[in-house]
Amino acid sequence: MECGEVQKRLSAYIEGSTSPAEEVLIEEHLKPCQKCRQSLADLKRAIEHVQGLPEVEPPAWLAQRVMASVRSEAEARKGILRVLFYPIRIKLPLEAAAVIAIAVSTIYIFKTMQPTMYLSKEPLERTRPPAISEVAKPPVLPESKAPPAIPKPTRMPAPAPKAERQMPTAELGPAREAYDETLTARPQIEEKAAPPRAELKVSKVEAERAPVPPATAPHDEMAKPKAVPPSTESLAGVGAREESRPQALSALPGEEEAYEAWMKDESACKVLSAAPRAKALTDKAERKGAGLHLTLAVNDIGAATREVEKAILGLGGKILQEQRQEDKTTVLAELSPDQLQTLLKRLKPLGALQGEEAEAETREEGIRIVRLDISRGQ
Amino acid sequence: MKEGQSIATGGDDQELVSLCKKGDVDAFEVLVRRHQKRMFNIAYRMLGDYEEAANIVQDAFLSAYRGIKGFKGKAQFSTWLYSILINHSKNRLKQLQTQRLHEAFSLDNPILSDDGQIKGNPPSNEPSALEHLEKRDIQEKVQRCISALDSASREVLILRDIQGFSYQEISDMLRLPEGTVKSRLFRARESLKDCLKKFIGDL
Repeated sequence: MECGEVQKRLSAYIEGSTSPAEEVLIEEHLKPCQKCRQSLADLKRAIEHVQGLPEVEPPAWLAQRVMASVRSEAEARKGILRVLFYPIRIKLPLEAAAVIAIAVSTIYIFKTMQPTMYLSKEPLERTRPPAISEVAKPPVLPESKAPPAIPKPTRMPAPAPKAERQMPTAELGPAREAYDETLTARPQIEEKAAPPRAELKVSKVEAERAPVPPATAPHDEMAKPKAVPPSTESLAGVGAREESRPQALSALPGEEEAYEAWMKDESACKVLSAAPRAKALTDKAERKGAGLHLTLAVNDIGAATREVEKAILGLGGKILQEQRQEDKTTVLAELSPDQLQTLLKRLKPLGALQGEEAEAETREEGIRIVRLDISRGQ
Repeated sequence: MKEGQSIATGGDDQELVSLCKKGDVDAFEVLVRRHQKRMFNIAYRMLGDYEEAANIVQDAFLSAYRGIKGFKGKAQFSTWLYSILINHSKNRLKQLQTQRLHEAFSLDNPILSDDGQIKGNPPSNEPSALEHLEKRDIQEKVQRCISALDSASREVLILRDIQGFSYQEISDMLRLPEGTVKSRLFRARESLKDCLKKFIGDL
């Protein structure tokens, strides 16, 4: 056996894991071979050195630290499981609370969206002449404020009322001026173009809402000139959004006409407002007189007036004002539109009635105010 | 001894393992206290660093806890546990070697050894290292020599000559045939002997 081979087997020889035949061969080689004997001794010493290495004591905190990490892991696992498998007595109320929360928020969202739904009523109220007086009534405001009716209210974007809300009342004066400009400028350009009407209406509403600026007001308005552009812009923005759906509007020819009519009314209103507007606003009777106007020519004014009063009260109406003059008595009354026809029937026998032809239209429009001039004639 | 008592009352490993599988953390603690010393010694000889050894033991125990449901009980629990530890140690060694490589060497300007080879891992039997080590205790030199072995040789030497496991156990732990274990061990001993001879001179 060569030295190299013997040295390869020395480790096994020390272990005692060589075959007996190999062992004999190795021992025969070792006897004369000093080098290999030295190698064997070195190997034995080396193994002794390794085996003689002392045991090391682990740090005292090791087990604690290990268990801390194990426990935190166990806790985390439990936590996840707990969330997934909450007992039903905890889970059920949580789910119930979630359902209620969803229901409440749904109702809230629907309620906040409602103003846009009212819009469908709008055009009828629009076409009626005494728009100013209606606008002046606070409760009716939200309705009259809204843009013209579109038969598909759900498609109506909400922004119009929003734009108004953003505008402080102090800026309404300038807004009206802006409106006046658009109103006078638009009609010629937009003979055919129905879409921008929403813009016009919104601006108009702003104008109506605007109190007639007192003589001293211009000061304040001058102080805030910058406020005007944003407001008109926002209104124009509304108009632009309206324009984005022109098919919906132009597809309704009947409404087109109604709009034209309304526009005329509006210009009439504007002329009126350009005249002594302050006076018009303060004179309630004058404003309310803009309902159904009837004239009745009778022999005996006093008797006729009493009959008229009886008829109105009998139909559940309300007499708002009665003005007696020498040869004429003006009765201003509020009456349910359904009762108008009955009233006219009762008035006819009293004398010559004029203005009844407007009854059908008035009723259709839901006008409640009736002005009756009783004069001597027959 | 309190610790000894608690271990004694904890039953054998198999019982404790089945308790652990049911989520009994205290049973696992008994196992930790029972095996931590041997675990730590193996880790310390593998890594040659006290702090590193503690970290690796902790990681290995945590891995064992996570995987205890997958322990089928074919081998002994200790064998399974130590195999986890050996794997963690080897991975850590690889990490440390890469770190040292990045710290000490530049690929652009590699240091060449006498025969023109790139020195990837400076062996501690260099003269300068020898001089450095001669001042130290012989045990430390032995540890240095163990650390100079490649990890395959190192683990076999530690498990056999330091921990005294049987070839069968080592073969189970490393999932190697016994023949491979033996040949690795003999090679490891030869390398160690050469290393120590250079360090200490006459053994």
